[in-house]
Amino acid sequence: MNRDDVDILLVEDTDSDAELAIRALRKRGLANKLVWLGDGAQALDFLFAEGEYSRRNAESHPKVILLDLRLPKVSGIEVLRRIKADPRTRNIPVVVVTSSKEDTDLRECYALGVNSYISKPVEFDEFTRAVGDLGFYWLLVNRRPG
Amino acid sequence: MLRYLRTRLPWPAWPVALSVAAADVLVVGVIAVSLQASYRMYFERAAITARNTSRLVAQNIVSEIERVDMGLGVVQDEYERERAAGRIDPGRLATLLRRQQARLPMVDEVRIADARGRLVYSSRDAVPAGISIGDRPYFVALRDDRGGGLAISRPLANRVTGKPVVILARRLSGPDGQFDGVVSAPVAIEWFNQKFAALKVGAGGTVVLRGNASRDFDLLARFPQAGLIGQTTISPVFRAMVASSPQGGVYRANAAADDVERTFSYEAVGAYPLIALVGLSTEDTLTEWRPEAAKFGLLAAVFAVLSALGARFLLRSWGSQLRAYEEVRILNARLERDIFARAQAEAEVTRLNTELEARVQERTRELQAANRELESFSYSVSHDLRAPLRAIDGYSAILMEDNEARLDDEGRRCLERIRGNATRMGNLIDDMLDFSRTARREMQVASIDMHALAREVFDEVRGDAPRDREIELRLGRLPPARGDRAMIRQVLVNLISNAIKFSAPRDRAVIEIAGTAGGGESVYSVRDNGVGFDMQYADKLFGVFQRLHGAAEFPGTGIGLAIVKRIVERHGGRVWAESRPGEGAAMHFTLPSGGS
Repeated sequence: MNRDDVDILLVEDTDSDAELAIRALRKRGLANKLVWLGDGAQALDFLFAEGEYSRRNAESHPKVILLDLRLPKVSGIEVLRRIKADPRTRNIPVVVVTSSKEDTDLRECYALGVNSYISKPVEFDEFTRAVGDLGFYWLLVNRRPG
Repeated sequence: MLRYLRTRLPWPAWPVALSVAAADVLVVGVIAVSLQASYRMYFERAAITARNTSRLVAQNIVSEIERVDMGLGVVQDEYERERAAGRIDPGRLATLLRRQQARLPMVDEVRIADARGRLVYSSRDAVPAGISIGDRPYFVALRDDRGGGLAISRPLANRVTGKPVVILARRLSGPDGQFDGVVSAPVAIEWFNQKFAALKVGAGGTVVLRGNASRDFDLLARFPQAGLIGQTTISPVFRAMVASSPQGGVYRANAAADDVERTFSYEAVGAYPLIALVGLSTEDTLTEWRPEAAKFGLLAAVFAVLSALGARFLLRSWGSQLRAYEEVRILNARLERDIFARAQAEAEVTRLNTELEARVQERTRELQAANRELESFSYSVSHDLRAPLRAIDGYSAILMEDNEARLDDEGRRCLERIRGNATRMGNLIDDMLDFSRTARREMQVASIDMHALAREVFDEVRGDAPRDREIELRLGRLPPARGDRAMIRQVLVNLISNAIKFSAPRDRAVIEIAGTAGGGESVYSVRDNGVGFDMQYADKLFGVFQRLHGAAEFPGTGIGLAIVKRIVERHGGRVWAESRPGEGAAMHFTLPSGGS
């Protein structure tokens, strides 16, 4: 897969959640250009074309980042902070998709400039619908500066 | 330790007593000195009076004696002239004697005795026969003494009248100088007495005529009459005075005659061997001084008594002041002890408080730590427990989707059960997290318009219920409450949704929300006409995950009322329920009253 042409960057450490999310997106035909990374450090390397992804074009940004908060190495909150603090990545829409229903997480994410925040429903149908809807929205409905 | 009262000690009593005594002594002393001065003055005055009187008496007696002596001299001259002429004319001589006696009122008789002492001529009409004065000492003295001069006899009883007399006599000499007889005149003691009585010497005064030392101080006359005429007893003081100062002097003594103290003045009676004495009694001298002394003495006594009384009063009032001071001192000491005890108690309380505070802080730290732990725990729960559930549900769904053809009814039913339970567990976890969040969340306390809030919540919850259900809200005027708006909202959400849920079997649900205020708190109730419950399970109603109905009958995890209870209790309120199966239920709760 071409690492420079990515629609969705999914940062999720739980395999089953990732698989279910990808399946939901695929059902809507949105998972063709999807990269799934398992921890925060990888996600940052990918976005800033560093480390393992140093040969990637840093100018090329995903259309949306689906970010879990509970991540190994670098937490989702920290990843969000780095994305929004850097002028190169600030404009990338970040949707936090998390199991957490804690108010503190919600508030902090908004304070850091998150574009959307959804709690993962336990029910598969709801989960599929939610993930599918948000993929559809950010990839096909939303417009952003070139 | 604090001193609350500083009372000056009152003076000790003794300086007061001492100063009063000193004042008394001073006053009494001044009075005594002045009294003594006046006492002395009275005696001096008495002495002067006595002296003047005694001089007067002496001069008087001198002149009287001289008058008598002159008379005697005239007779002597005439007799001696006739004797020298050798012819005595008894008639003429008698006439002369009578004339002389007439001139001298103090004299009873003027007479002539011959050389043997026989009375031969007399001023009286008849010469008493056979009376001789030849044995009289004055006669003997004149006979033996040729020098002549006046002789004054010792007091005698008149040989004619028998009355006491003093006889004044002169020697008669013959032509050749031989003793020829005496001419004499008896002067009645009575006469002296009369003269003395005329003198003012006071009631206790006395006037005395005595012979001088040469006559052994024989008593001639005395006024008032006392003692024996002629007696020679005199006071030793007088004797000593006369010895040193024969012409005159003043002394004080008790008269031997009547034992009365007197101030005496004595005066030699001219050149005669006589002494005149005037004694003024001390009693008389002090008649004026005594009342004066008594007056001043009384004054001193009154002063002493008054000052003593004053001192006593002062001391007594000081005494009571002392007692009051002592009382105050005791009370003060007691107060100090009390204050000390209180201060100790306060210190103890402070120490305990500090300890308690430290313990509270310790406990708070522990609680905060526990809270943080609980927070991270629930975070983990919400995150990590739900992920597997999602996987279970998700993969069950995928299994059903992808293998629909290969699954029989039983397989599908099992997968449905798996998915149902996963969902249910997800709900349980959510509720549990809600519940624990209720306990942990910080409260933002403010006044809440319960009326508006209840309406808003009802509308919202009503919206979740099926459209075709007929639900009536009867909303009374709810008093405002004080509390965390979001939490109280949760209470209303839970109660109203319960009410709607359990009244579902009714054709027409009636939800009644009411409230009253009073005594600082407001009581609210949410009543429905639903299925109700048996009161014997009322205690289970507010427990976590406690349900009184089957899940199939009414959905729910049984956390709603537990959350209600926890929120209400966090606000310091109470919550209770009343119901009967089939007759609806009423949920009551109290909250602190809100502002207007």
